[in-house]
Amino acid sequence: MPSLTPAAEPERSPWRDALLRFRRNKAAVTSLVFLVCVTALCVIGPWLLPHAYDSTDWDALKLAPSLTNSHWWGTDESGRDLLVRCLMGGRISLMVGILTTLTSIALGVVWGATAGYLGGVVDQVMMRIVDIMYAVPYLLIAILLVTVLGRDFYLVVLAITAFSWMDTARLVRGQTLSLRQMEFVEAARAMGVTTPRIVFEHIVPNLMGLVLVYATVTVPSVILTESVLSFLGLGIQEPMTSWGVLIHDGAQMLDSAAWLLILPALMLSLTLYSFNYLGDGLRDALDPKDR
Amino acid sequence: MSTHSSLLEVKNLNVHFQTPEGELQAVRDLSFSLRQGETLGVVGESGSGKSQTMLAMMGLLANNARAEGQVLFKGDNILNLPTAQLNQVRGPQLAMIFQDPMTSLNPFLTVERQMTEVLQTHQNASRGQARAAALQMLEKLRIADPLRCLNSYPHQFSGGMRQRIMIAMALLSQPDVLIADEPTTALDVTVQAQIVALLRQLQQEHGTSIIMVTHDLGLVAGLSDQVMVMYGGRVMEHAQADDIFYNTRHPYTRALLESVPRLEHADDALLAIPGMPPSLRNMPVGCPFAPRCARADNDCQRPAPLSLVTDGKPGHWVACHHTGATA
Repeated sequence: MPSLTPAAEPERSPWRDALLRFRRNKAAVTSLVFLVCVTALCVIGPWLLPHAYDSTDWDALKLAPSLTNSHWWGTDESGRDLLVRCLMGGRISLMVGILTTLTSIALGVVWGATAGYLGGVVDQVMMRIVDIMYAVPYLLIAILLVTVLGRDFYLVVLAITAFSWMDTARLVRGQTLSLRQMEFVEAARAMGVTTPRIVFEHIVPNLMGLVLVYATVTVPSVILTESVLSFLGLGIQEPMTSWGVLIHDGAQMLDSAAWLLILPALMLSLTLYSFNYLGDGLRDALDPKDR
Repeated sequence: MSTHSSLLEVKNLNVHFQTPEGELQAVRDLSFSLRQGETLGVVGESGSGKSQTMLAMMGLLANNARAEGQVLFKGDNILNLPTAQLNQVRGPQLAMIFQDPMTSLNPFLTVERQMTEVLQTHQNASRGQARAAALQMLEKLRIADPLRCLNSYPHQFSGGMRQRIMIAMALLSQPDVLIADEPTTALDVTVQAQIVALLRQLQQEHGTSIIMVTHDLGLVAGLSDQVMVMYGGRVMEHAQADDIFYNTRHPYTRALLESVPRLEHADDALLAIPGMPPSLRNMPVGCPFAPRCARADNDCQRPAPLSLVTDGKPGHWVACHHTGATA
């Protein structure tokens, strides 16, 4: 019997194919580069700049942005350098955004895939819990959490996670319901593969494209939620700051110092915009119909 | 054929489905037995219950299905076992290959990960051992460049290659019984022939018993020791392969054989069986084939029991009221 030769191309995982398609998408690549730059600036910027985020420059209260003095982005009404505060705020906002997205996506994937694959009563119970979580007013719980446990960065992450994993769980469950009908899942069952292995080794890798796209949309929404919590005094507290806090403070100074609103808002919106573009690019790159 | 007692014995298997319209019966009172190294061909049209029979044996029925009866594997009933116990049997001892090689492999995992899974799960093989075994099996199936094959993803292969990978995967744990559910339906004819040759060769080497589910009579003729013809969830005729083809007793089997297009009669019109297979919702009371059968009469209003053909060779079973006259 003649042997069949495999395709001549080198090993190409579905991920590699997606990467090749992603690289052709200019807008998505630009967004990714922008996000990397912003993140890098937020991480190292505060060390390189001459001002500290919480020290007052008494000679420069509410100074307008200019390149002629050391406060390029100006100062706020307490004489604190806006650029450093924007970068520090970016650290907090991005950290909350990424950390919370990771935890909420992880929880949502495990929850949704388990419910979707096991089905039946387990599915019913697990998804009713999701429904209940949707019905709970999250601000109320956030206020309770903060009152009982005190203000803390990780508490913010926990509080936002607790109320943002359900979307992922529903999405993943729906996808799992259709994946479990696939023949390769049946084939794995026929081979005696244990249930946890089927869920986490066969189904979850097939979900990762969808989840990745969803994660890029979750990051901005988490950053916004953090702004809301901070605005209500439940999140990040002075003198530490985040983009949400900066925008809130800047909005009050709109008449006399518009830059205090415009510059942080610009950073936040460009970042959110980039995340959305990145998500768009990933969705196109990972679309199996384009394979 | 060996003279050992049965390796696999199915006794009075019934499969029911709970549906909003009521209970449907997909498989009715099905029994057969299979010895070591033997091949059973299961033939029937779509909806004849052949796939559901196999799924029931493997514990893969849909959630709304219920199976009754006995599936004795090496003497133990494996029907309706809990998943954990069933997993001791399916895979290492009772393996299955599916119809569509394009969808039976996980697109996001390398061939190596999918192939070695069964060894790592059941035999606690190390990664290296499992990899070596997979490599050896791929070589045995004459896959060129098996090393690269292991590192590749399913979409890089043609259908025939994928089906070989599926077969390699199923054989890796050296199962006693291999269930092949229409393994060549999705493949083109030249690849079909290769796959069949491969199965036959592997059977000789390992003494594996094969259950070949198909609607391709040519495939059955080339491979099977015994043949079971199913229709409407029942066994219509069950005999040694030669008797099915040369001593046909059931009108349905005869009609099936006549509707195979033949090259030497290319000018004749194609013979088709008139009518449609019965729907499970609307199964005839008597013989399920009666509405389409040229020989049907009043007797056929009651089901014909599966009985031995008295004047035929031993082991020739047929469910028809008119067997004597059709010889």
